[in-house]
Amino acid sequence: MKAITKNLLIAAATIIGILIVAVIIFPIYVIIVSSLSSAVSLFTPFQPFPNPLSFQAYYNVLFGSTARFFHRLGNSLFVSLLSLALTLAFVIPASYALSRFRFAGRRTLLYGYFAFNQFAAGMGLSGLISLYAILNYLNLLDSLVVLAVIYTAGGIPFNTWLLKTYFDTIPKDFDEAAFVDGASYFDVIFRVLLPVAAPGIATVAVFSFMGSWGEFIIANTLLSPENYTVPVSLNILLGSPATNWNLFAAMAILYALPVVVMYIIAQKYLQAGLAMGGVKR
Amino acid sequence: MRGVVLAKVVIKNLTKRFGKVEAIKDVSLEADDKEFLVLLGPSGCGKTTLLRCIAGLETPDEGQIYIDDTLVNDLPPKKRDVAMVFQSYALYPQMTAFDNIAFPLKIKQVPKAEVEQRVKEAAEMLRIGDLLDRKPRQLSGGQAQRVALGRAVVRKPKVFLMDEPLSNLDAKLRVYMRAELKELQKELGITTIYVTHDQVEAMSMADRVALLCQGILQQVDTPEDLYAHPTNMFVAGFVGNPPMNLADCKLLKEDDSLFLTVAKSKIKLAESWKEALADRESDEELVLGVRPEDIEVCMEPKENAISGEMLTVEPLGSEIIVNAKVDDSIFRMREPPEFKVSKGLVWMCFSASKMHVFDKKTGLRILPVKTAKTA
Amino acid sequence: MKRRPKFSLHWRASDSKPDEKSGAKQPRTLSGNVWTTNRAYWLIIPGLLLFFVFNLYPIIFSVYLSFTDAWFGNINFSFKFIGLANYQRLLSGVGTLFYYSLGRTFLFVGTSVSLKVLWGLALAIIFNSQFIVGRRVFRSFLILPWTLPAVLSILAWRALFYYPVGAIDTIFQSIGLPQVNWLGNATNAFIAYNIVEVWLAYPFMMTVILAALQSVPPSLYDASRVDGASSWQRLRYITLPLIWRPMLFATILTSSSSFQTLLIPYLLNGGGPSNTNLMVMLWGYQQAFQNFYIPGMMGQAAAFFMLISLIILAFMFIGLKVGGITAEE
Repeated sequence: MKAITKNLLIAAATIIGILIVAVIIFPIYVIIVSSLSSAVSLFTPFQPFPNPLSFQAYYNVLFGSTARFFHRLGNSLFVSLLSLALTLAFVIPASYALSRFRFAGRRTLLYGYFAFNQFAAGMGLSGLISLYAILNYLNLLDSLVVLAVIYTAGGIPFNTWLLKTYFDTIPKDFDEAAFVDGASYFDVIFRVLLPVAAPGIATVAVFSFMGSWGEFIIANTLLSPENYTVPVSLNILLGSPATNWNLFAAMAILYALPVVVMYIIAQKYLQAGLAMGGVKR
Repeated sequence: MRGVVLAKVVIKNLTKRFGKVEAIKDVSLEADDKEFLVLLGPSGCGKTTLLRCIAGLETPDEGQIYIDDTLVNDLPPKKRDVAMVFQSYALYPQMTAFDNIAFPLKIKQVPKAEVEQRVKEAAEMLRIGDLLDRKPRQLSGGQAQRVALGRAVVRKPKVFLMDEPLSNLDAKLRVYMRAELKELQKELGITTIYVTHDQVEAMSMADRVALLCQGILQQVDTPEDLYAHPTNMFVAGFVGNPPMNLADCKLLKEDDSLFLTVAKSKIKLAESWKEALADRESDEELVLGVRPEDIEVCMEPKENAISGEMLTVEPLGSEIIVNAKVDDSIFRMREPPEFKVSKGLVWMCFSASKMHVFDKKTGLRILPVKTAKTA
Repeated sequence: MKRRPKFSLHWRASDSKPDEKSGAKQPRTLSGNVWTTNRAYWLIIPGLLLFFVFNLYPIIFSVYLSFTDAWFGNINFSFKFIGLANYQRLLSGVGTLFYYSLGRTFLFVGTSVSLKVLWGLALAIIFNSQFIVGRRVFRSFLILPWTLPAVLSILAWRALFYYPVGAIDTIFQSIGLPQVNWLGNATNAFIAYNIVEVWLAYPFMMTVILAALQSVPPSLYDASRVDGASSWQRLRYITLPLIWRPMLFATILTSSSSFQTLLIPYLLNGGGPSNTNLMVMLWGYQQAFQNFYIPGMMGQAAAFFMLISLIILAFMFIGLKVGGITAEE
């Protein structure tokens, strides 16, 4: 093929690529632009560039009195972090046991966890009905703690299974060397396996956190305005005609930031942990 | 079998770069019609790149390629009328052997009846007629290789290009297939360019061998000539197993005679060398080369022999390989199996006509001038 | 207290000897790699228990609820068992949106999955091409819809679709096209749903197809080029036959997720206008949590979800079958 033709194709393909990415990014771009614009209501037509560029929205959201963003953010953080902690606390021992031990019912449980994953989404909502009834009866409806527990419980099958398969890739020699050296189970889990399993645990942590951070339906159903998490309040905001559009946008961006941060951190762990085997502290 | 077509492949000043690295440097080469030309060289020497340039899978940066007197530089592979056999066979996994072989015909929209006939013909030739219904994963290495060959053969192209097709086969099968391939090529009379890193394979199959090293063409010759008259040290050391023994030496001009001093030994050079070495200084560094099979090992001191210290002996059953240390190099020699040798000094004798002298800097061979007086 | 040495693989138990451990612990016995203590159960039970109480049991209880007349009025556990009445009412189609929502959802599955597959395939081929510069950078952008919280994305799209001043309509206006009432018109809203669904879900399809494309050995393409195949012929005879299996499997999975869409209809326009774009999951949610002041609604919702779960099970079953076939090859 002629060199000219090749270069033309490269240019054409790259341009097409850029166009496609531009179209994909467009909604996010709109949000970012809106968050950087000065006060606009939902009735103001969209402008491609913020004119004038203003961080007023962010300022209002973070420090202003009306948005109550911090409160909502706090709720979301609380739920997500609590769910994350609980998940790790319950899942790590369980997946360790499933990976290292042989016992009656092990295989059934694994298949069960795996199978449940597939059915979970469909059944989840029907379970919510019962949950609502039960929680209402126990007067536990509007509780962030309960929400966190529900999130944790929902993630147990997937996360346990995921971490178990990850543990499987760590040779049992590590455990045995430690045991021969006199370590207890506790030591083995915390001092031997965890450092080496950091990437797998990071993955579980990220999944858990992001699942809780972004969950809407259950939070929407169970919570009352005082305890709203960010996604719920974002929805309410957008539905209200009085809303400052760029306030909403700023809030949305701030809401998305932890996700981005999480990804960057998780990436680092994933890359670092890929060189595995014989790790010495 | 084919019409009168002269399928010569001519390569002129071909250069190919990958980024800053020059994979092929100004290579000029010709393959005659019906010739079996082998591109030989260590890995990374550019032979596969060269083959791919001929096929049209790579575009050269400089130079021209002619197939059958037509400039093909700008032609895509499918217009060059070449067929290629890959090292991995590249059989389409979801098609049967029949469909694999039929593929090139099918996409040229050859009528079905003709396709069937030609595929069967090719399969008969390669003796895989009863394997045509199988899928590639149901075939052994040798069978898969024949299917790949069938796919190339069925097209009756002007040129066959083969990229180490035998290297994935086990040793026994490889030797067998070498003969088969060569015979097939002779029967079909199709110009073939064949890439390999195995010099035994090259020597046994080629009409001519083109030896490459780091993108530079070293020598193109018949196997015999390549063996007996290497143009430089690389060629001398690459062809032949065990390879040619090379030792550093110094030129000594004493009285009116020329000597080469190797370690502690002194080899007298014949008259025919005088002219070739005339403008070299005494004490200049050269390299002496002798092939293992041309050396006779003696236990007593001999004139015009290289002395060295016996190291080890490798009894191979049919012969013995004797290893001796000469300065920093190890000389390997072939002796019949009954040969008895003991530790200590040995003397390696060889005939003057079997000796090669190389310039140490350029690596090029220095040729003695043959006159009526000398042999 | 003696400081424990920093742990390494050659940890020395300098300050604790196994025999001196408290007698409460059972003796460890090692038979190869198999531990024979009951410790395993203790490690697993907490997680299992949590899962059971807050996840599994509610589902089982919902099955029971589907046979009752549960609604907000008797939510303090004074339900009455009514047998199959809920199911009968739903399946008869009288006075319920059962069949309407089912039909609408299947229509949505059909259109969105087709679009997702085509878009994912196109993107995978384009961004796998040797002619694109900076492929890795591109791909990290293309994954974006997957990485952002869905709520955020959907609400952003809602703003874009806002008639008459959302970004899309503004752009339309500036290039002379009429402004479209996206979310207030049944057909337009359906289109909007599809756009958002494709936007959210194509990264999955694209990733699967991309992986499949990259598993095709390049020597096959080389061989076909030498044999004379055009780009189209290469696509048809080599690429597609080798990637259609993982594609099919991914298509089944993505159909199942399209079927279960809830956030899109809920957040964009509540299934509107006036329930014209009602999807099954949304209707179930409406019955259970928005209409539960109607007697018996929650029970009916529970029954409805049971029926829907059967359909999802069917998807799963087909997926496993197809997955089994693809694994055989």
